[in-house]
Amino acid sequence: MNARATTPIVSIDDVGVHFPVSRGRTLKAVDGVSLDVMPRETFGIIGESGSGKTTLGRAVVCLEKPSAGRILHAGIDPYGLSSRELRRHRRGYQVIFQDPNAALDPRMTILKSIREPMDVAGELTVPERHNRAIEMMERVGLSPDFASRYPHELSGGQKQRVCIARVLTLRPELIVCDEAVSALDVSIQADILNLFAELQAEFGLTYIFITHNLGVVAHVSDRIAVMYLGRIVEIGRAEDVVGTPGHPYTEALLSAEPVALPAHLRGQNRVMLQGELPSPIAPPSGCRFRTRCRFVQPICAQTEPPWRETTPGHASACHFAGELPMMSGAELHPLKAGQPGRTVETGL
Amino acid sequence: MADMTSPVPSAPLLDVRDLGIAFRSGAGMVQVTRDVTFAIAPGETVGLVGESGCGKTVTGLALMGLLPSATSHITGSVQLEGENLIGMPARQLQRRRGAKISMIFQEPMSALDPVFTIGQQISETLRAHRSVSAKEARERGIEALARVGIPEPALRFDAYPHQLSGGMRQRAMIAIAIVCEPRLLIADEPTTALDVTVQAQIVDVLGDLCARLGMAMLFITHDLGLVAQTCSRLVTMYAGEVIEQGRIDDMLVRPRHPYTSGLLRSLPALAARKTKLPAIPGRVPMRGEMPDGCRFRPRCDFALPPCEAPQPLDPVPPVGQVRCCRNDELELKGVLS
Amino acid sequence: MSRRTLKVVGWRLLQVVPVIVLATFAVFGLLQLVPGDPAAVIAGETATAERIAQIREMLGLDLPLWQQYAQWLGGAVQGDLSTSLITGLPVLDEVLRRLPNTLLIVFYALLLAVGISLPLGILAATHVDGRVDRFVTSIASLGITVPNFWVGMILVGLFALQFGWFPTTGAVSITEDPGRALWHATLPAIALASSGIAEITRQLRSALIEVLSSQYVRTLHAKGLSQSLILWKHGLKNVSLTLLTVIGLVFNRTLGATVAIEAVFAIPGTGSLVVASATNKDFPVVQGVVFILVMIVILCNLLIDILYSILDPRMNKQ
Repeated sequence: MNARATTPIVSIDDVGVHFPVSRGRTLKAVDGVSLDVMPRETFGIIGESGSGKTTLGRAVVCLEKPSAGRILHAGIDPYGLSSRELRRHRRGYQVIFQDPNAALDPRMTILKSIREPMDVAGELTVPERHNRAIEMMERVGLSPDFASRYPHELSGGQKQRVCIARVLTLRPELIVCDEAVSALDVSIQADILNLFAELQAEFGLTYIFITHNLGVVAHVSDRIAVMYLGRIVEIGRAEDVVGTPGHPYTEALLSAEPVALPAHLRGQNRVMLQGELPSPIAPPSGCRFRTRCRFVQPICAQTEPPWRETTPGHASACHFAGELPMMSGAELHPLKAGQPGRTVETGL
Repeated sequence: MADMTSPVPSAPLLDVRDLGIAFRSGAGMVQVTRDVTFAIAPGETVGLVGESGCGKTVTGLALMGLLPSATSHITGSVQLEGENLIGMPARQLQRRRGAKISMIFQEPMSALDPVFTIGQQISETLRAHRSVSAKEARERGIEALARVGIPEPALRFDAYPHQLSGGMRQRAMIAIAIVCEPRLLIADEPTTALDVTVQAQIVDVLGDLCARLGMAMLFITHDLGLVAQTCSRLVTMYAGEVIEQGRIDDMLVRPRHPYTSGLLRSLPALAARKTKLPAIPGRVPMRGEMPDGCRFRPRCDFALPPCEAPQPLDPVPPVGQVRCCRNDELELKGVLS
Repeated sequence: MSRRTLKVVGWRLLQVVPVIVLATFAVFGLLQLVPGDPAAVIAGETATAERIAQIREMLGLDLPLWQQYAQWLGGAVQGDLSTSLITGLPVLDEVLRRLPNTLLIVFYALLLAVGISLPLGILAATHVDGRVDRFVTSIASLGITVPNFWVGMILVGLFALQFGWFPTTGAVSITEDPGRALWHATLPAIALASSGIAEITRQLRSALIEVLSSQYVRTLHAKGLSQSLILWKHGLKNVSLTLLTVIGLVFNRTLGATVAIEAVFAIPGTGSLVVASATNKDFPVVQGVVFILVMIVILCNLLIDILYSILDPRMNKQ
């Protein structure tokens, strides 16, 4: 990571996002989450439905106000700003969603859609906005022919490019990508992931990449946080989390990810999660994963697991992190952990 | 499962030949698939892969005879245990659906009738094909629910679809499809709407069922990883055509068609971290705007003048086929290179 | 009925209470809408000041508003809807005497509407864009645009005056002579049903088309069920919810349309009573009729809500 960058661009401190549900109960979609994202970093957040990853992403870009804790943007508390300042400030923190259709007005031309955020901001002159919109279209690989077209004339990949161009016009510092490539076919997905990487190098962007796809998150991220039922259960450098998972849930996720490898190269051992996801309204006591954990001990129900650092910068919220006979990344996800093409056969 | 790589024997369970599907669109017909040819042996699991719009779901529906006859035109033949399903009278086809050949779909919520219990939906399938009493239907329905790994099956039997989680609904859907023990199950993206850990459970259930019932499966998906895990053979479709097929382990390591190779290489899970992913340039041609000759030609790095001629499916020993005239000379990259 | 369904029914009953309270406000408020001093309006232009004061006292108009309301509500709860200013008879008796005539043509019309539109809607939905479908949909659009009373007048002209198959006007009490009562009620009921038939047919058609092209119906085909089983078992149960909603709406509208139809056929029902009392400024009667009709509508909607929760398992969640 960049040694100059000492202030995190996003600092999440013990943040909770709670929603009232029926009969006075509360859904703690995000509960006691802390993490720092450094400038120009790609930070991956992985989890399944109900993990709170999307809510956390929304909280980062001020679409959801934290019910507890604090989120700082480069040391600034956005909720301490006046509403005018906040509006301006938020332009630096953008989000791209999975479904580009939801973000694009079907009755607006592509050019208008891309210009819209600038029109709302109202800082540049109209010709300047127009030029920047065209410039961004070209930058994301859309020919200017598309300017006068409508969303329905575009493919899914092209629409996602429009969304990216739209966000870029505001010159953001950080973009939260919430399942931004999940709905795309693999070949298009590869294209968009490449584009994200190029844009990051060019504009010095920071990404928070939220996805359920381990392959994607492991490919693009510098660091990864794994979420389960509103909490982070493991955090660390991508290669560490994927290579030597410290939390049994991460092990299960890695094991569940299908890998396109011939049978003799795939790990033969698999960890199959049992049972269903508990209700996030009434999560299990102690460790939230204990009801489905293959290593569960009595202490797991009694006390919340503290953070245990297995290697520097790689920590897991598990009482037994680093002590469990878990499968290594090489067994679970051979190519990713080892060198491509030189995978050791693991067998039983 | 991946060990069952026996070549297709002389009498396949399902033999699809030159299947062509056209849809009525405004004034004319639009050809959606053509010359789709592949076979499935009894008990075999075959993956049908391609990007959206390549015609894989439509092919699955055509095999089931589920395309509306008023708006679609089907040519070619689909032989199931020696009987041609194309052109078969509706009543006879209906007797085979759900009994010999079943299908499960992507969205388990919308694929189940919301106002009937899971049990009612299983029992009616049984009673449509077998003469069983209500009591027997209940017993066998509960048995089917247990078989797909639904806990407390007797309790779930009387539950409505909305009372189950997504994973449980898909299990119920599978139970309905297999309650008459069909010879072939067509699974159309059965796990796309589910979380990865739930997907792993469902895939496990499907594999287990195939093995226990000796059932064959056509697994339609866009996820090559899933095919590698569940199937012994792979059929790749592009723009309405089968462009390559063979044993999955062979195709992963040594694909013969530039499109298959492109699909494999664009998988982020297999590329070195933080490197540029080899994407396939361009996009799938629109229906009705198909290029002449090889349909992949405009996106292909290896296209030469001979590719402008129509490409036949050439055999690739021992059991494969590929629709590329340069397949002998090209050394295409697979997942390991 | 399962325990959950019972719970839902209880819940719905509780929910109806505030609706009824609101309705009583509205009905009571009717009198407040009369411009100027209601007592003076009622008494007429030539009335003396004493007469006006007398009426004011009789109606309790000299009391504060909340007391007037409490008095009126207290009476209504005990079945006392005050007395007619014209005849001096209790309002409730008058309303109850006429209500059967109205309810007869309303339910007769509803039965006709459902009985005719059910086969029409199903026929149209199963032959989408075919000749049958086009015929049915055009009939339905016609039925919606043509007003009931106009249909009524055509019917009278044709079947009563021209052919003499049915009586032109009047009504017979259903308790006295059911056969003749139905005979009298037939033309008004058809006239009332015309727009209901159109409405239910259209809604049923589109709901059934949606159900038959849904993904779960595709599953039913994939299971090898027969066309007829899919239509009659799954199709109808799934559209029954829409059907219920539409029938509820049609009931409300039909009840409203009786005002015009009773005038056309000179039926001594609540509709004609309300018209006559309004013209005579007999406000307590207007108030009483509206109150009873509103209660009937609320009860009917309650019944539909309860049927809803029995038919749709998803409703049981709350």
